[in-house]
Amino acid sequence: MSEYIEFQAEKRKIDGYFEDGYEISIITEDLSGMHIEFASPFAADREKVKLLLTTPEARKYIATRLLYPQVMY
Amino acid sequence: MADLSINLGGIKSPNPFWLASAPPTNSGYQVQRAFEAGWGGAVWKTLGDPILNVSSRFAAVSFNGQRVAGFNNIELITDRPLEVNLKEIYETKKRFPNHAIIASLMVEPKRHKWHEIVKRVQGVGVDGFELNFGCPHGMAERGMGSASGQVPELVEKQTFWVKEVAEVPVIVKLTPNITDITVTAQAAVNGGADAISMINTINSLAGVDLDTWNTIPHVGGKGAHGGYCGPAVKPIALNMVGECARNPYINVPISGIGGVSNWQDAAEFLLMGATGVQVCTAAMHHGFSIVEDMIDGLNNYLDEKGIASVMDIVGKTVPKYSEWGDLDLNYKVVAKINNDVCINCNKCHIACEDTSHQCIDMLVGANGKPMLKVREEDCVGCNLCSIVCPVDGAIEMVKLKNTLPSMTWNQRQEMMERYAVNRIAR
Repeated sequence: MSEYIEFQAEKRKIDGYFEDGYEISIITEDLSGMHIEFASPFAADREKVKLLLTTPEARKYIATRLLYPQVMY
Repeated sequence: MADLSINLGGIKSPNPFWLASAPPTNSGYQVQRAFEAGWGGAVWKTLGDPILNVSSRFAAVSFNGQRVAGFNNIELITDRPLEVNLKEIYETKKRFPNHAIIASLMVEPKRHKWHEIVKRVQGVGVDGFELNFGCPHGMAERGMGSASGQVPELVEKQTFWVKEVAEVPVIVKLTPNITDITVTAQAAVNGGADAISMINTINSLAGVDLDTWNTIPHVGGKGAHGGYCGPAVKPIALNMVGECARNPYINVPISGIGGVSNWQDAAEFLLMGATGVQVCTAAMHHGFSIVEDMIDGLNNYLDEKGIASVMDIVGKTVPKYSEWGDLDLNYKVVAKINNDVCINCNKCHIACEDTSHQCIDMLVGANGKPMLKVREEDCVGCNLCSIVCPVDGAIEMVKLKNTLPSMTWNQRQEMMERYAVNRIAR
């Protein structure tokens, strides 16, 4: 599969979580890629979801979003 | 006509083109002919205790028909008595008072040895000294040349000893056979150097003869490592000049050496922070007259850019030279193939498919003829296709409009730290 397609799939997930109001609580990086733990500020138990980013473009994208939170993506 | 004269740490020269300390500057006859041809300065072949050379000293590497892409030598410093060299330096300086004559020196790392040679040589009117801490073969086995140039303490100490008695500027010539040249460059500055020069030659063996199994070159069946120079080493030299030029603790002029073959190479070294350049291999390959094209070319370049003095371009690229971690991760270029120019040799497709990111497709155009097309979304902008393409203008690397704002690796790491597990635990 084209890496671009993989990137698009990961980007859609990232955008989706942000649109649903999730916030990033923890990021860890290891040999598998970037592990992101999202937490929902709305749920009483601060529901958490995990996402593994494997493509370099997605790892660049999420870091850029965090560095520039005021920019529209 | 632009002003091509330079002032390198107090050494004035009518143009930035000097002959490096090497076989072309072995004698007064040669240096005077070089000055007649137009060279602005010459670093006399290294003076020291006269040595003994072997026969069969040079070798070159040709690449795909390009003769002397790289040059290897195992020749040592001067084999002539000091008195003979001094007489010829005096005569040459008298005949060419406005040209720069720099005496390259090499002695054992002892204070009295340096004092002796400096005092004797400066008496004949040299414009400066260049301390040879770079020669990698022969002399290094005796504790001189690169052997002392690889030890920062020795570089500093010997420079200091020379400065104790030198009445003219002192250039310290550095060896590239070291992990980080800025360390020895700083040592030279700490010792009081007025300027530094780089690079001396790189440890090398030109080749092995597949029939005789002798090294190339060999001396009666035995070989030893030599020093490599010529066009092949230019990228290495250019980086080392740039690394020193952008280092705030190395605040002395730089004389650039390493594969300078034409005016364009010289201009690159100047832009990268060198105040002048030294040339050897190109002169050995083509003769002294190559300096005419170098002078004309550099002069025309400056005139076309409306620059009055060559000194005005020194270091202009240095602010653009940085660390990898300061590069923008979101800057993106992609390849575009001009099918009107492309000859469908498929070299770009093969290179991309076999060794890069598999984003050049072989298609059939509307006219039924084969065509190559880049899938831009999968292109990482590595440049490989444009590098291997044999036709000028067939592949262009095009900058994409930034969809994301600039982010460097260093910025990313700083930001990521906020989300690290251990930070949250704290």
